[in-house]
Amino acid sequence: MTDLVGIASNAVAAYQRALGTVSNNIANVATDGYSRQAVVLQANPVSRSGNVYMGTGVMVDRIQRQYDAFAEANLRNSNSDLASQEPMVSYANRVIDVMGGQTMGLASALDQFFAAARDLSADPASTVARGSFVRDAQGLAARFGQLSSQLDLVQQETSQAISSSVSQMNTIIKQLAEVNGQLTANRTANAQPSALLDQRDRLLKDLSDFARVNTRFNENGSVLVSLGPEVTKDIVVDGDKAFNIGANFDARAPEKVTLVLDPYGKSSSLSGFSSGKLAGLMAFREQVLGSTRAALDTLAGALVREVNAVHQQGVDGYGQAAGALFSIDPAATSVAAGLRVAFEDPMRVSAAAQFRVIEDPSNVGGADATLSYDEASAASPPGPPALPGALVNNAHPSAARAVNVSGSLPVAGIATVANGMQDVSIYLDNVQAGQQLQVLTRDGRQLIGQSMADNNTLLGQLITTSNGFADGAGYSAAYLNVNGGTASYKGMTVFYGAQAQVQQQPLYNSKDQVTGSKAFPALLLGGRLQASSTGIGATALVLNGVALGALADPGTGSTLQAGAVVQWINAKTAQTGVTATASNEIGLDPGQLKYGLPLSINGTLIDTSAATTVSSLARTINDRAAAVSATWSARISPDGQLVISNAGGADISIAATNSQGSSAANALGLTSGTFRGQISLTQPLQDGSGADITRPIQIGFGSSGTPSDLAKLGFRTGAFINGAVKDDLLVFVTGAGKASVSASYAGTAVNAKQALRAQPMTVRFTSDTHYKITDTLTGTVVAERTLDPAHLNPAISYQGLQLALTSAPKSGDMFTLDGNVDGTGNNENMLALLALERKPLIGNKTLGAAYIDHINEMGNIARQATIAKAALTVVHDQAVSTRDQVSGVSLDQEAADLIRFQQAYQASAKILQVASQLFDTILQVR
Amino acid sequence: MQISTNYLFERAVNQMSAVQTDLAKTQAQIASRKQVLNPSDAPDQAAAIQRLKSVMARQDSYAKALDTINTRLSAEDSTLSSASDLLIRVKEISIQAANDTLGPTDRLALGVELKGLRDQLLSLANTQDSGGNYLFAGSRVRQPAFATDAAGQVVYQGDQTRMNVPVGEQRSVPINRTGSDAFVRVVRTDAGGTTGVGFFQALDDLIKGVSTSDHVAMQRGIGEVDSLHQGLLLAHAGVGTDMKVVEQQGSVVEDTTLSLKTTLSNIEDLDYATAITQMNKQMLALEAAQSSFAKISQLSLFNYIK
Repeated sequence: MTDLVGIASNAVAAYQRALGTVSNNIANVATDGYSRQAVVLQANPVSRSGNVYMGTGVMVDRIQRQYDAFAEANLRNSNSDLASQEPMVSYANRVIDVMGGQTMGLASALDQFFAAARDLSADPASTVARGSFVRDAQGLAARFGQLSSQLDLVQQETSQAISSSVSQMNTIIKQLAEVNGQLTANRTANAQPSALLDQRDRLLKDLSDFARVNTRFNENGSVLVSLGPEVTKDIVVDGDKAFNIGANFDARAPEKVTLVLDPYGKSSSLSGFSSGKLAGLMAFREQVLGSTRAALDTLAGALVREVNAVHQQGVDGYGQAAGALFSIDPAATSVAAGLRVAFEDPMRVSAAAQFRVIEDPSNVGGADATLSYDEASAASPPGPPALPGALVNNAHPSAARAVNVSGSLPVAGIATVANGMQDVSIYLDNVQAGQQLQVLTRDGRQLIGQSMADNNTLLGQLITTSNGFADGAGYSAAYLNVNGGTASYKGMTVFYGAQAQVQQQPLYNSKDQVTGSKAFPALLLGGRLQASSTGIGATALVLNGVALGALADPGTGSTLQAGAVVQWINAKTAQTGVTATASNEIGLDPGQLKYGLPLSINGTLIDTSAATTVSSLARTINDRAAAVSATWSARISPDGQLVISNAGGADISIAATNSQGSSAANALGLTSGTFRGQISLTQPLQDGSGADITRPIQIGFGSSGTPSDLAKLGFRTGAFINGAVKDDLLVFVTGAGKASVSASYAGTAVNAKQALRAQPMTVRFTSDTHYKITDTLTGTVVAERTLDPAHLNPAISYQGLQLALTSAPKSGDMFTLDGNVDGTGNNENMLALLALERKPLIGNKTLGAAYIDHINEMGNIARQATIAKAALTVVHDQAVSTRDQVSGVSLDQEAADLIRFQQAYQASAKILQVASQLFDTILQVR
Repeated sequence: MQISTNYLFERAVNQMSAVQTDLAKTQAQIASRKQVLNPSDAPDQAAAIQRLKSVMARQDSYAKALDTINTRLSAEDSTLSSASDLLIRVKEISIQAANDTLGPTDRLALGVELKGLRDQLLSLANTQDSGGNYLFAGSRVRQPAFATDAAGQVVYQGDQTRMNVPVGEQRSVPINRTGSDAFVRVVRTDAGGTTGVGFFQALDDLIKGVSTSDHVAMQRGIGEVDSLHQGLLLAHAGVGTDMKVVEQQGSVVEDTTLSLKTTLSNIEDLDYATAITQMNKQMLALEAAQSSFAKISQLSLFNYIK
């Protein structure tokens, strides 16, 4: 007989445990992360009795935790995916609500700004309308600032959310490592306490809220956790070791965040981070926040750029050229945050155009005139390059630029001297016969050079639009070489020829302060005379306004001598006040001397064989000169040079032998040849009567003079503008051949438009088709052109100003163009500003459209996130349900188990009773 | 398949709260009468609404500009109309003065009256608006349009700025007439050649002619007054045309605004019938979910364990 009592007591104990497990399940029905536990019963080993095997009852094999690793992993992954959409949906919607709202959005502020501009344009003289325009501009700037600060707020919030997510993750990671540590107590997962495993899975699920986790479970149930794309990368929990993560915020691109693993240890970047709330936050910042900030800044930048460009075109209520309307505070974090209105004063709003036209009351023609300024045509007229780019600021011949003028087109553009430059001198060296420097305005007024009035061929080649001349420019020599005064071009002081100014040297006191200046006489130093076999024509040269007359030819076989030139010039000293002196000196460095070699000066052989030093050579030469009573001599200069000179500036020829033209080496180390004299002109600071004079020495040209005449005398020809340049000037070299040009200058170009404003002009029709443009201040005729009266809408263009006429004007009609200093009732510039409302400024979109489109774009991103969230919710629900099917507690099932185990327990107890009765039965056998 | 008790409850709660959220949204829509509560609800529609509102704001500002222009044009209109009447009177008097039956004394009296009329015309030409700006001075609104110069002649001091203001997407209206357009000059050909003579100069010459019984000057003056009047009428007609344009443009702006409002209403405003039906449906769904949950949640095996 088997052991009934044993079986029964085992069974009772087993079912008691089973009932305990069921009650535990019931008790934990609402516990988060609890896995249902099931009792696994097992039959006891059988006992053999003879050849019969008898069962020995039941025992509890184990209490099994209902768990499916795949279901858990699935739940974690779907949890991460769902959590990643949440921040995108909520924060993106908030950004859209802020930007797209009626009250907070930019669209209404932009509308209001342009509406104020329209009001002002309808009543430009109204100070009230000006005031509201400034206020609405401030409102627009403030709206940019508000939007920017709202975005700042969202950025701060998401930054905090990221930081707090990271610290929560670090807590979970630490707890997971601790759980892993406790799990080392047992060798297999089955032996582990269920509660500990439940805790492990709950922590993993919590971690999956923030980021997708990769796991690998060991035999004992401990887990390796990584945040990388695969389980071996970016490990955060390995056994009982935990690795913290950290978030780095980039100061330059505030919306960008990078995550680092183990920031205080061997830090490395977390690269393959995906899904989860943290990834969602980062995606929001990059895709929505960053691009919205950029879009707002682009808008603000475009607004400032375009509005200011238009605003600065106009004139404010004070008649001044207006400044910028908007400014950007450099201290602000972004363009949008730093947008300000540059002024408070409504009168500084520029509503008016910078130029205007006034018709003369006595006009006979019925033409209505309108005036506009075309920035493009004024900005870059063609022609020679600007002077500072064309020639270096160094007048020495060694710095000159070679110019080769062709014979077929004998015109070479040199430079454009911009309006506003000062003291410009342009020199022409190595000049060929017939070459001239010519300086003209863009309208063909010749200021410096030789008149070309008779040379229509040359004028045709010179005055072309590609040479920088205005369309329809004519030629005039009315202002040619007029040196200052009312007859000159806009009062400019110009000179053509050779010039030397009185030098002013500053005087200093003991404290190095300039107390005044001292004048030094003007001194014009010439170079060596050319070997000219002809003299100077009777009408060629003029010195200080006095015609010098003819200089006779030097005679057959000889060349022009310095002495003759001096005599010729000094003959007029009484009228010119200028004294000429001649000299001829050759300076020789001791190093170049070749003692002992033969030497011939002016045909006299000198035996230098005895000379071995500079002084002995000088002595030898002087002895020989004395012997033949020559005018030439040698001396030693204070700086040690040997100087050969000839009295009266007469020629010195140097050779090795008496035969001219020999190229053999001579004792002076010079190339054989003739050295000609030099002329210098001076003028005292007092004239004959003792009065102070400070005029320059100027050798100009008479009717037949050319630069080559000056070159004969050793003087450089230059085009001089003394003082300010009042208009753009074009510089040319005419005449075929090679020459070189150098220049010195000061000052910089003025703003062409403002210069034009300061210069009122009149356009007067001298006939029905011919008109003159006159500078009102100086009376200078700056242009003379013809107008085609048959043209339907005749127009006149001058330096960017466009004067349009409704019909053909009549002879005598006059139009005044000026810089609109009192035209406060003009709305032209406000209309231009208003046109920005509908002008595509960003890509092909207007400001308003670009803004609305951006909101729409962000809306689409948020919309996609919402759709993704809905889809992922379904996936997540599915994963929860799958996990619940395995691990969830169903009270109905537990109730059934409860009854089942209760009944089994009762039945087992009954076995005990039966066993006891059986025992009693045996005891009663007597 | 096994449903855990926890899951059963959670699922029911989630579903009910989803229906409740929808219901709350529909209720808010009904309360605010708006289809789109927040731009984030429907970004594309919100963008369309903003675009329409921008266009409407522009129409409003056109309407405001039209009001301003109309005020100005009315002022010009009444001024030119009075000036025209005065010129007619000038012409009558000068014709009367040219009559040979009148003696120099009579003419002197007529000359005085003419002088008065000329002064009235001058004050009309220097009419100011409410802001103290001269109507006929072009853009030089701060100084009188016509003033006496050093030579004692009344000359035009303004400029020739003719301004247009946009009053519609494609339409702009001229808002001012320069003094030289309204009070025109005449072309006089005499021994000295052909010159332009200013409005008031011509009148002054006429007055001088009448006062001094200079018949040549009177005859010339009568002819000139004709052409002065002609010029004035032309300017007056221009003002009338402009006012007509302003009026027409006003109704264009109104029509545009109305059609924009209709479009906006279609997008923005709530369709009550749909919304209320929707709400009823959602209420029904919520009630059903609640009552079914209440019943199902009562089912438990434990109820039967006695």
